[in-house]
Amino acid sequence: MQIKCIIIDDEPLAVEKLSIYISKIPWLKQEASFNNAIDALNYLKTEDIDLIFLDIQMDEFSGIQFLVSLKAPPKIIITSAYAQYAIQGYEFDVTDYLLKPFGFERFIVATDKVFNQLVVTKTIKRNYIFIKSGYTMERVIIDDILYIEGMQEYLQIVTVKNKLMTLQTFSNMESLLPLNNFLRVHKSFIVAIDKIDKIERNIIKIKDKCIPIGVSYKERFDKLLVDLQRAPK
Amino acid sequence: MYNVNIHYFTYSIVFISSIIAWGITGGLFRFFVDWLNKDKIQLQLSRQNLQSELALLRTQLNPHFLFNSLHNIDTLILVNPEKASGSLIELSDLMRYTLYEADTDFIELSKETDYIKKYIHLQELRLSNKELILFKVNGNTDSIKVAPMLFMSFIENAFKHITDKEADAGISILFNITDQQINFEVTNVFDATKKTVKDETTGIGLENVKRRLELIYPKSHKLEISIKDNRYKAALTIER
Repeated sequence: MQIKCIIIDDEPLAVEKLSIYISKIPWLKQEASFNNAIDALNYLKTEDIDLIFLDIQMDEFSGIQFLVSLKAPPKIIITSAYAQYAIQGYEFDVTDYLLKPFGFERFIVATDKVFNQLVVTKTIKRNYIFIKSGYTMERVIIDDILYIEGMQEYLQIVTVKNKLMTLQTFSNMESLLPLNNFLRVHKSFIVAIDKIDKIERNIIKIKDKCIPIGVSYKERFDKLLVDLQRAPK
Repeated sequence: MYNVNIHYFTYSIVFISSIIAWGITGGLFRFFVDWLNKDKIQLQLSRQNLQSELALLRTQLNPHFLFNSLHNIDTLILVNPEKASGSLIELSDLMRYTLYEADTDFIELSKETDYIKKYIHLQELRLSNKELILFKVNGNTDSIKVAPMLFMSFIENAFKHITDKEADAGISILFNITDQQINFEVTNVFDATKKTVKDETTGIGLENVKRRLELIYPKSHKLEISIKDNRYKAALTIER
């Protein structure tokens, strides 16, 4: 997942620091930076952004005024040398407040909060993915997927309702599915862990399908098995 | 016998009256001593009040300037370590000056202008427009003493209230030193329609400086504040 962000700060070195820090986080992507809030407001009219790093003390148009004029605010992390705006920040439901000077460790704490908030809201909102099958896009409810089988360049997605073929790689498919319930068990199989009916030696049974466990995937699967024999959390 | 009695009588009168006279003189003396002491204590008290008032009025290094500068220097450590080192040393020079050296009634003007120069350098770290500030000292600053951090109040105000940071020479700071006077002038671009949000303490700062000037240079200064052609100007003349 990529989180798109912009920086608003009237001090060039403050912008530079954030740019350096952002470039170190793989899931963060800096789309733009602004030395004033008005330009940023105009930018946001057309662009969709997940996160804003916002300085408060700026000439003409302050960060607080900016927050007031935002209609559908994305996640906000305030960066300021002034501690006294923290209370006001809470009123705008900002995710975190970075007091200048701050270092990389503190920056990570703030961005991790944003990551968690966005990932949680995204999984609540979306319980499906769209899969391209031939010339059509089909909606597949993630919870319906039993397993995925590789067939040469194609993947066959088997759900409780149907089967569909899509031209995709395994690694791409894995990135679309929630990690906590989908596991690669073989070079040509991904299984939905909560749909497994039986495990016999190196064979997983889901409905009537027998899925082999690959040698190089065995260790990870065995670790999971140990976890699955414990009481559910 | 009769004579003796008279003599005796006169002597005793003289004696008694001299005791009374001494008593009165002593009382008066005591009264004067007390009165003088009281006056002295009062003088000391008012001087102490004045001292602490002056200390309060003296500009300290603004904490937000300090923290923003440290933030910028921290970035420089990553991108330009040499410049970071230079800036850090300038910042510690400023701190030492405000904490220790400026804690005096009068200080060399050359030290003040040196402080201003370093302050401007650090402010420039915060700016994208490196042509914003014009700083000039005309004349000889040698052997002139001034009240510390007096000019800085006006310079800080200029940074606070400037409305266009992209303008070349948007802030100008000029010293003109003659045999009789120190002429100091600071101006900044000021468009009243673009009120800045940073000036929450407007007025208080200026009132403080005015009070300081009255206390230190009661009859030997002239301060003129004006707004003309979108420029805010503070002109201060001090008789040497």
